[in-house]
Amino acid sequence: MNEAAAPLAGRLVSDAPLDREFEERLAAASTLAFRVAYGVLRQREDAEDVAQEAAVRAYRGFTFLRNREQFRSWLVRITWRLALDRRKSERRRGVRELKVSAAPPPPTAEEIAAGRQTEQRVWEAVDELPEKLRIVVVLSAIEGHGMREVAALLGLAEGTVKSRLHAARRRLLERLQCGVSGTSRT
Amino acid sequence: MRCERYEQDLTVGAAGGTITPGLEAHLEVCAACRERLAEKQALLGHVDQVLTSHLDVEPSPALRRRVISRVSRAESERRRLAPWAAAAALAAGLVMALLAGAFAHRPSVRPPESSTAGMVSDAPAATAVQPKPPVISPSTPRASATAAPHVVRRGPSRAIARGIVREPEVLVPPGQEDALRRFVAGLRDGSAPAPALLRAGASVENFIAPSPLIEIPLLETEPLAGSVDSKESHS
Repeated sequence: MNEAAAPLAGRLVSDAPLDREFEERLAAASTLAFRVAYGVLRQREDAEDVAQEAAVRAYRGFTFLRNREQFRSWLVRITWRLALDRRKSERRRGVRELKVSAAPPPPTAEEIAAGRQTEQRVWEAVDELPEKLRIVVVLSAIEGHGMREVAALLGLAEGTVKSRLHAARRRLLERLQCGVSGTSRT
Repeated sequence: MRCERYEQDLTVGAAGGTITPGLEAHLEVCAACRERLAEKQALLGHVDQVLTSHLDVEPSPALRRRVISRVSRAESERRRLAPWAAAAALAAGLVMALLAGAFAHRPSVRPPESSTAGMVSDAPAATAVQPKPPVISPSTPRASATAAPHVVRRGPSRAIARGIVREPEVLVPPGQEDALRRFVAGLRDGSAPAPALLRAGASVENFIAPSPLIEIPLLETEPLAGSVDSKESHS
């Protein structure tokens, strides 16, 4: 930690035990929060802003969090909601232009299978998923989370996560194959 | 052989769902569908790869410092504003209490304990059918005598002031508001004789003559043939 940050962090740490515990838990979950925000916004600066805002909100509500062990999942959900709100507001303002307009012509199935499809097309398909399915897809792709971890983060049953992930993958497949040309059928 | 009908099953199977026995049998004989299934699985594998690699992103080293800084700022702001927030809440409470007190003790046309309002409310029912009579509250100026039947409100009790009980309303024929007010004022200062029912110790029973008792002769009944009693008597 650099010198400028030391007094701030030192002050936070030197406060009540609540603050120490909060900082420890935040340190363990801040990267995950950033990645969740990044999964929605895909802009580093925006994702960091949202992660900061989520941390502040979490701090304000930390006293009222009954089960501190659920801080991680709580922070993830706060971050997800904030990131979605930010994305919606930016879309309303027209700041973020959808990159769909400049989409390339539909690639062939071979191109897609060979991994030459752009990330953009994949993310567009992810963005079109319903929110419940999208968060499962994003969390599954972060830090190698299995279904159990995703279920714990979302406070859902493992079977629910499994069915949602399956539905999401089906939709992704259908969406991505919509523009595929040259598919072979008998 | 057309394979379109297996398209959905292929998608389900590629997405991790169960492969139906029908599809399984078809895949054994159809190389094109096997290829299509592998294609779908490869596409999903590619999606996983894109998402995983894209989200394996590290925040900038300054993020943690900025987060801590922002939380510290929020905390210091909260502590700075906490006394003000408490004072504001206290002031708001005081204002509410004062307003409630002022409303509860506002001047009103209030009849004596034995309510005359009840008597007036029993006034001709024809006046009650007038549409939406205006409300006269003690604080409002007198309306003209040509207006529709008015409603005079009694002074509000504390429960009414708190909004718990709705204030009863008295329908007054047009032009009779002043008469009612004079009547109530006279009852208060004793200048006007109170009606007999409003005097202390008066009871409604004193004014109702007891009705004569009517004797109802007992009905003489005979047991029906075949009834339970007759059966028992026969047995």
